Amino acid sequence: MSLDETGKSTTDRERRIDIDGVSKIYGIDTANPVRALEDINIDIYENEFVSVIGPSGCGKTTLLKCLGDIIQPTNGEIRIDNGSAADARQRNQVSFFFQEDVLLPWRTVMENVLLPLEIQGADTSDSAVRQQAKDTIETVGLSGFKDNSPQQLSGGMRQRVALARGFVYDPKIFLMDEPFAALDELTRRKMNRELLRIHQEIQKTTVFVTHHIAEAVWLSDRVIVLSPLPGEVHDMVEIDLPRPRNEDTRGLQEFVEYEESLTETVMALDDE
Amino acid sequence: MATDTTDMATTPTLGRKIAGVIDDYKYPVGFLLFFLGVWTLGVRAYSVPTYVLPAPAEIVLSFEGELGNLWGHTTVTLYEAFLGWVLGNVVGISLGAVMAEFQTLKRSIYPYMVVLRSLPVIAFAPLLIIWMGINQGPIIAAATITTFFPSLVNSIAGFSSTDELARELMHSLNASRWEVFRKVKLYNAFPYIFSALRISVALTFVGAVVGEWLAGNQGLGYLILVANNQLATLLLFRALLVIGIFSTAWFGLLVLVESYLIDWENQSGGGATR
Ligand SMILES: Nc1ncnc2c1ncn2[C@@H]1O[C@H](COP(=O)(O)OP(=O)(O)O)[C@@H](O)[C@H]1O
Ligand SMILES: [Mg+2]
Repeated sequence: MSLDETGKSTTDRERRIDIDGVSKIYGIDTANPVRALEDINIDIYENEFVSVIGPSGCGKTTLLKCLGDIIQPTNGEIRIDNGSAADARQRNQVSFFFQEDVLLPWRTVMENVLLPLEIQGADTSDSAVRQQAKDTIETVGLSGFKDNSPQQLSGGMRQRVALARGFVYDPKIFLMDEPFAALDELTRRKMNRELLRIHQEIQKTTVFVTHHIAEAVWLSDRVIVLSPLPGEVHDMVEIDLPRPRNEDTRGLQEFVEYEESLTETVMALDDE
Repeated sequence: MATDTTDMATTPTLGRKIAGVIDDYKYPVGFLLFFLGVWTLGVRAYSVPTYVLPAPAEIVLSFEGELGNLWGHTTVTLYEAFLGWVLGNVVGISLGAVMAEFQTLKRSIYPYMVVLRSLPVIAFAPLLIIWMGINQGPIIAAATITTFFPSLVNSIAGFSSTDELARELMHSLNASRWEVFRKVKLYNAFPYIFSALRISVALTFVGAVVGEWLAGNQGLGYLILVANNQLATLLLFRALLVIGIFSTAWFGLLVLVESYLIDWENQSGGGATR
């Protein structure tokens, strides 16, 4: 949902995630504590697609794991729909996508996609439940492979199974940690196209970590640049490109400008 | 195994399967024949007396008329070895799972396990006899003890082998501790459990044979002792050969069952990552 479609400014929209003064120090009681995040303040709105970029080691994964209640911030607070990050996770409102596909090799594609539903207590022999999984597998274009085992699939296909597993229980928020970083260039572009299509179809509030600036611009409503050690918000750029976006978007003059200015920003950080 | 992913649909024809088996075994079988040949020639050339070292053919021929008697002792030893193997593994694997799951427990008792493990079973045997008397009890207990320790160690390693990422995934899906155990850790432990089951086949025979030496009046271990006292070397070789045949068959059966049950191993390293 872009600004153009709703005709509203960002501040009028419903706030989903409120990151309030979040810091994270690893090994706080050791000789070498690492200040991974320092006083992060970000609001993220309904159906917004936010990318987080920055040099490696600047705390992108740490931030995302705090949002997903996989680790706890040292200071500050995260509120998701006016509850805690733990509440949101426990109510299955959040879906976390890892850099690796983390498929369970002893389960077929179908069984991997059924995993979240199974944990939520659904009866996986029920035909409606199975249909839900099948539909999601179809969304990522793998209908013909639902009974294959993950070892029989290519890296790109495996990553799509991981996407389906994250989509299947219809969470409200997607947290994606460089989900395509392990893929080759061509596959990664295809996956991004898939993600754009899916996001435009089933709008979800998304926080997307990447180190690929062009992709961040192409996909996002907003790009946040983190600076390293301690990880701080260095810059925040609204991407005011029309939606729906497609391959033509990449040719727009504004697109190229966003990409170049963000590249400058990140390169300057890297040199520090 | 490397080509597993390329073509799952074609099952090899019987002819090709046999060709594959021949290819796998031609070198070891060739070596065995060579070894037996050298053995035979050596014994002949130096006129080694039978009570020192009989020729392979002599050993085989000596089975004639002895099978009934031998079979009686064999079933006794198999019974003891099997029971010890089952008990040792059931206790070892379960305790390993519990220790891997509850680190405090592991840290409290594991050091003592290491100490116990470094004691030879034979040192326990007199105690076992005092406690249980001269019967099959201490023999089965000896087989259980030899099986238990490697089983415990493998089980702890197996149930601890789930990587951080898979645990984070399960946590993000709000899985309970039991679900993580049941749906992830158990599967990651399977290859380790099978490894424990395999290693302990040889060890349970060690326990059973040693147990029979000290407390048995039947069984293959007992036969070995009798043969030794009477310099009945042929009998000794027969007993050894029977133990070898059964322990190899047992081991082979486990390999078969494992390859049937665990078809994801090798292709993925057993973990959840590529
Ligand atoms: N578990 C951990 N223990 C100690 N330091 C960590 C841990 N995880 C990450 N770090 C450190 O925190 C910083 C930020 O890491 P991370 O969030 O992974 O960065 P990014 O995802 O941007 O590459 C790095 O300096 C990293 O070494
Ligand atoms: Mg990272």
